Amino acid sequence: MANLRKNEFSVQPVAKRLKNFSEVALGLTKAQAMVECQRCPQCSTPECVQACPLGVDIPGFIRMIREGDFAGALQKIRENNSLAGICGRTCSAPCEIACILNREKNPQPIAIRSLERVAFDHGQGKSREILNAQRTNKTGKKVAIIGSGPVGLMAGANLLEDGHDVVILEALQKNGGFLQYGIPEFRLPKKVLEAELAYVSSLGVVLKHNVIVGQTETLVQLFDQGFDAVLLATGLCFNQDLEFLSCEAQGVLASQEFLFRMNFMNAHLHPKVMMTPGVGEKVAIVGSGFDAVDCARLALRLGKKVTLVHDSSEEDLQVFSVDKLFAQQEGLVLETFAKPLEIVKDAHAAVRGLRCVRVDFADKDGAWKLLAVKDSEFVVEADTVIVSGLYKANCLIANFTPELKVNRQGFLTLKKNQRMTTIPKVFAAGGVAQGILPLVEALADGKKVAEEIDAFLQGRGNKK
Amino acid sequence: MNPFQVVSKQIIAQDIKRMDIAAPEIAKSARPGQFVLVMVDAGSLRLPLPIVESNPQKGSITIVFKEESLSEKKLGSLSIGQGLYVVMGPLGNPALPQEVGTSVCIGYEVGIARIISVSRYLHKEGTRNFGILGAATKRSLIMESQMRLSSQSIFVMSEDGSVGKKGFVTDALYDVLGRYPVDHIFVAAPSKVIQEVLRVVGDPKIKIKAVMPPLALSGIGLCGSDQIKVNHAYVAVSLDGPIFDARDIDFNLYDARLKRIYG
Ligand SMILES: Cc1cc2nc3c(=O)[nH]c(=O)nc-3n(C[C@H](O)[C@H](O)[C@H](O)COP(=O)(O)OP(=O)(O)OC[C@H]3O[C@@H](n4cnc5c(N)ncnc54)[C@H](O)[C@@H]3O)c2cc1C
Ligand code: SF4
Repeated sequence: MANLRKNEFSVQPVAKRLKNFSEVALGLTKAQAMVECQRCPQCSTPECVQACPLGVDIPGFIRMIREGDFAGALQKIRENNSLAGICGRTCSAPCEIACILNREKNPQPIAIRSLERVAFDHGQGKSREILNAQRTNKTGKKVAIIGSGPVGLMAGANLLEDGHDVVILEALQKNGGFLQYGIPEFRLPKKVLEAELAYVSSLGVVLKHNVIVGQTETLVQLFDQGFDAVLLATGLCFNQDLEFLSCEAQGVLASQEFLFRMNFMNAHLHPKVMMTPGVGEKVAIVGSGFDAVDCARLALRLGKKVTLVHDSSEEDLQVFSVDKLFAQQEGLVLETFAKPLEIVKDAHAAVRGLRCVRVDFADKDGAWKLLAVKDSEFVVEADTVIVSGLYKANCLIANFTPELKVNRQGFLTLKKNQRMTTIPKVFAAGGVAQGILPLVEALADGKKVAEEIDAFLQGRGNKK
Repeated sequence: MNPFQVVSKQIIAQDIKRMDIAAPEIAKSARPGQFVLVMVDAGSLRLPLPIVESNPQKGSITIVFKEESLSEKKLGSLSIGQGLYVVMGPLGNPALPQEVGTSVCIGYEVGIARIISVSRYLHKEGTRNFGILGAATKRSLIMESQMRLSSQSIFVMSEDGSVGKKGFVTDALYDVLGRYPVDHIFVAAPSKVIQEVLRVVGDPKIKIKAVMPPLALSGIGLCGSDQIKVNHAYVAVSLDGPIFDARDIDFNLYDARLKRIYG
């Protein structure tokens, strides 16, 4: 079972949270946080900082929380990470793995991620003046960022600090990218996202929406409007998986569609809103990532019976252990070591179930592999099958911009050791350039591309 | 306040309305065959609607829709000056031929709204273009005069004979095919009607393109809700369409998807 540090999690009780969509982990209180900070040994060469892809000054902000200065702590975090409230909830926290307290016999790393959240929750709104005073001299250069996901926001905030004017153009009606339409309220409340967006725009980043670059505006038009550089941060989009969705059954959908309906279109409020959740009573979910478990937990809250089919062990689920624990508490049935074979449908092409086969580790030609177990087929009863993990880089703009090249893996082609695309002055970072990444690594990529664009605009060339 | 204001509104047939909406950016960049996603307010569906006309000078686009679902009724109930929550576009990547000798544009009821920009385009390109308009009855026929303006001549067919000739669009098509050497047929109609058209046209040299009602949730390929099969490969209607070779479309899958998303 997950290693839950006792004081870290005050959570909504299961019975209650199954009836709402609000945040499950309630976070530390100020007092709890201050006590937790006492445990930090304040290492002279902190390994946690080296492990954080953003290089957050962890001992620094912990000292401030210890003294009760939450606004100062937030300020400290924001020196390296403009999205503290989001990371404080959804970061995979490699810093905690590196924490030296994680190495003892009874590993008890400092709850860095939760402390980051506390700093945001209790330190907000008090640090703005300091920031505004910090603004460097303007360079007069203009950067357009396409896509308002975490990468776009991070790069935007950093470029602004470098003194450039930044406009973020988003195709959908709300900013935030995956944070907006992908991650459910119970893990990342919209209120937090809105506050982060407000923070980024308070810095001076202009956030626009309903603009599809490539269609509403082309790259050429952007340069005509006087932008000196463009960053493509268009993230990920749907990737057809022939094996599964090719089955012409009603009731098979991709995880993104269900997430989009629920998180972006508020389908849980149906019939008050017109969008329906689009799932039946018995939902089978295929996959092992964040999207699979998030879909499961959304469906559980709709009162559905949910089975998650995964072809490896429980430990191999690619989610935080606490989210797995939460999901199981909420009633998720896990079918591990089960490989989906086909969707069972009736004469009307309606889904009736998911045929699976058990797999187990076995020796094949000297290699340890997951192989099907003989005569072990079984059917998971379901009227809806949600297939997760179908992602690819969102290169939509390349459809309208032939000079923008896409490589064999489907990502935008970048210059060697750089983040510039095949079009001069056009850069790319995050999902569209690297595929699916843990949030904090995507953010780090956003930060690096900002440095590269800054160097380019200032005529410094690439540092590398 | 919502940014996309209704500039004008007109009832053009039973339950079918035409609206001009202020959307200057879209008006500037729209191409024939493209569409927009429209949300009246935060609680309504994302309706994919064809751009019937775009007017870059006035900064407006024209949409035509049938009031069937609640969201469409809500859209229809807006009055001039009120704003829409979302108008996202233009969407789609329709490929239209550059040189066409003789073409036929077939539209059925509200499908006529999808064919009109194509017809206008062909006419402008110097094509000898014929229009065939069909409807069950007079009250659901739309945009006859606009079609006339972009065609050498038009044929109006109604199933009950209340307007034009009594019969089906395929009857008129049969006539045209007998009299002229047709190169291209464009059709915007329910799947059944398109399949009838395919049956009537024997000559494989005649290209048949269907202007499909777009299926889209995000509109930029995020959710995979609008994947259909064309020529045994998967394509996204909102990214690669909405115009496809009609002979290659898997209509069963298409209709299933349509029902799943909006049904
Ligand atoms: C369900 C799910 C849950 C996750 N949860 C976690 C987690 O808990 N922890 C973690 O570490 N990581 C998580 N991740 C991974 C992380 O969210 C992604 O790596 C990150 O969102 C990528 O960010 P991005 O900015 O590159 O792209 P996105 O967030 O996808 O943003 C791209 C934006 O660009 C817009 N756009 C696209 N095309 C255009 C265009 N042509 N014009 C204008 N705008 C356009 C899109 O609308 C979108 O808003 C999760 C991923 C998934 C799938
Ligand atoms: S951003 Fe992530 S890795 Fe960095 S300090 Fe915060 S929780 Fe740790």
